[in-house]
Formats: sequence, C-alpha cells, structure tokens
Amino acid sequence: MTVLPACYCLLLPKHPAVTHPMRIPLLSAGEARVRVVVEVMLKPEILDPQGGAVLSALPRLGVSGVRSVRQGKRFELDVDGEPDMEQIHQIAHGFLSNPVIEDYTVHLRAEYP
Amino acid sequence: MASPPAHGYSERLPRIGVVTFPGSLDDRDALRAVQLAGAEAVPLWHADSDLGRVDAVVLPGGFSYGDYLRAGAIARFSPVIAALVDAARDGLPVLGICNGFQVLCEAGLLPGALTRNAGLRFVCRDQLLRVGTTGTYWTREYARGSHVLIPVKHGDGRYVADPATISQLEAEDRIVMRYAGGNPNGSLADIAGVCSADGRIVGLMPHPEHAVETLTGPSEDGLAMFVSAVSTPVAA
Repeated sequence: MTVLPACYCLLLPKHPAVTHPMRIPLLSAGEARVRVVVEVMLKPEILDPQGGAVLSALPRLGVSGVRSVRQGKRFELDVDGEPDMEQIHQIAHGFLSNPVIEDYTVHLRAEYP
Repeated sequence: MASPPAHGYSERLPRIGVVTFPGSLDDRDALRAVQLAGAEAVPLWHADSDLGRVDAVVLPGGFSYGDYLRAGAIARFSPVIAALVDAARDGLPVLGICNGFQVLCEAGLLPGALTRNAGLRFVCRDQLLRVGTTGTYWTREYARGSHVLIPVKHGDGRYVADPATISQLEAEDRIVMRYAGGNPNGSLADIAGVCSADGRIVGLMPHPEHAVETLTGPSEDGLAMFVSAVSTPVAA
C-alpha cells in the first residue's frame, strides 16, 4: 500500500480529486480512497503544560533556538466513498475537539491501496 | 389527614441516582454518601437511558471510558447522559464530582472545561476549600465563606473558561467552592466548582463523598453536600 506522504493537494495539484474535490466517487471507482485528517490543537490562549515540558527538555538534547512547543492531536478517518463534509465538521467540532478550549482543521488526502 | 413532618421535609425519602460508567471509581462511595445523608441510593448504569424516576443524580469520579479522547468526552455520548441532559434541562438536579464535573462541562450543562493540571502531576491530597455560593441544590447546608477539608485526586482539574464566562460566573455568584491554601492544578480564579444559573447543577473537582466519615476521610465536611439534597423538598 502506498500512502502519499503529504496533503495531496500540494503534491498533485492537477489530480481530479483536487480539481473536483467533492467528486470522490471518481477516486473510489478507481484505486484511491479518501482519508480525512483532523488535527486538534489547544487554542493559543490556553496553557499547554505538555508542550511546555517538551520545550524545557530540548536543551537537554542539545537543541537550542526553539521558542515554543504546542502539543496537539491528529485523527485519521478512512471514509467509504465521498466524505460528507458537513458530517465531518460536525464530528470534528462537537466530538474530536472541545470548542471551549480547542481549534481543529480538516484536510483530505488520497490513499492508494 | 397526617400533619406535615416536624422537620418540614417531605415524608418520602428522596431517590438519588449514582451513575456507573466503565472506568468509574467512586460510584460506591457516592452511593454510600447518599445513604449516610438519609436518601435512597439508586444505582444507574451508563448503557441505560432510564433514570429510574430519581429526584437527583450524582455523576461520580473515575476515568469513564479510560478518559480516551478527553476526560468525559465519550461518557457525554452515553445513553444515560443523553437522558440526563434532557432531564437536567427540565430541572433535574445533578452533582458532578471530578470526572462527573468533566462530563457536565463536555455535555454543555456547565460552562468551561477541565484541562491538564498546570504542574502536569496527578494531585492526590486533602484540600482546603472556601465555600462560595450556598444558593444551590447541593450546597445550602454550608456556610458561605467557611473552610472545608475535602480530598482532591485528579490529573485534569485545571478549570478554564474565557474571561467573559469567568466574569459572568463571578457576577452571578455561581462559584461554588474555591481552592484555599494553595491551588492544586492552576485553575482560573482558584475555581474548584461551579453551578448552573438556576443552582440545580453543580460540578466540582474535589470529592465530598470521600469526606463523609472520619474513619476513612480527613473530615465529615463532604456530607453536607448530600444532606443539602436531602433537605430539599421533593414531590411526593
């Protein structure tokens, strides 16, 4: 199985799934499936003691010059057929993230079996 | 026709439910505290959407569903919480302790959220608290401004909310308890517990159910929280 190493909208800007992003059946009829990636980060104003602990460990690794570290979560959802983006945002907003303290981003990428 | 009881309470014992989730730890202690306070303790199960005609519900401490995703985030979608949210919006009193407080915030029944302790350590100690509002279903037996000693034990207890929400809670007198003698987790404004606008829903990180007998707890200061619920008249 080959998984594209990054968001395919950057690597394959002319891929049909990018030029017609909602026409996912084109992909599932071929050889690719869609992976929905949701990334969740604490809002900038919320203290992130875990990121702070990582930051304070860096000098012990001999690393300098890193000003800030924030730790977040990444979810990968493999979807059959065309993803229902409204539903994806519903999941991301009300379940995968807590809107009181967290922001999220959604992006799609193709996965070739 | 019987005259009303001398103490002014209803003749029927209040029925107080305690929910057990997979990963709950303190459900037994909460059931026992409810009994010691003089109420009928009713065990409730996370997979049931039947609240068993209870007069109030306690969501106990623990690690429901392993705290996966976020503390309380998965419990919030359990059948019992779906039923509870509807009932609470219709006025059913709810007390959320520790993980129960996290569930109430996740469910949107209380404002704010509980995040990782500022010091990153799980804190387990007997904690001095200062009582705030006593105008709630669960705190009317306390004296405002008094100090109580009740254990805390949590890793995700740092209460946060946006500044407007904190101001609103202060202005509406909805802070139920504050940490005294040292803030164990970095909570904003030393907040240990808050309540809903009508005072029927209370959430707090400390564990009143662990302070109901001196044999096992540092004080009996937690008992008043359950007695408060018992001293509230119930529909016969």
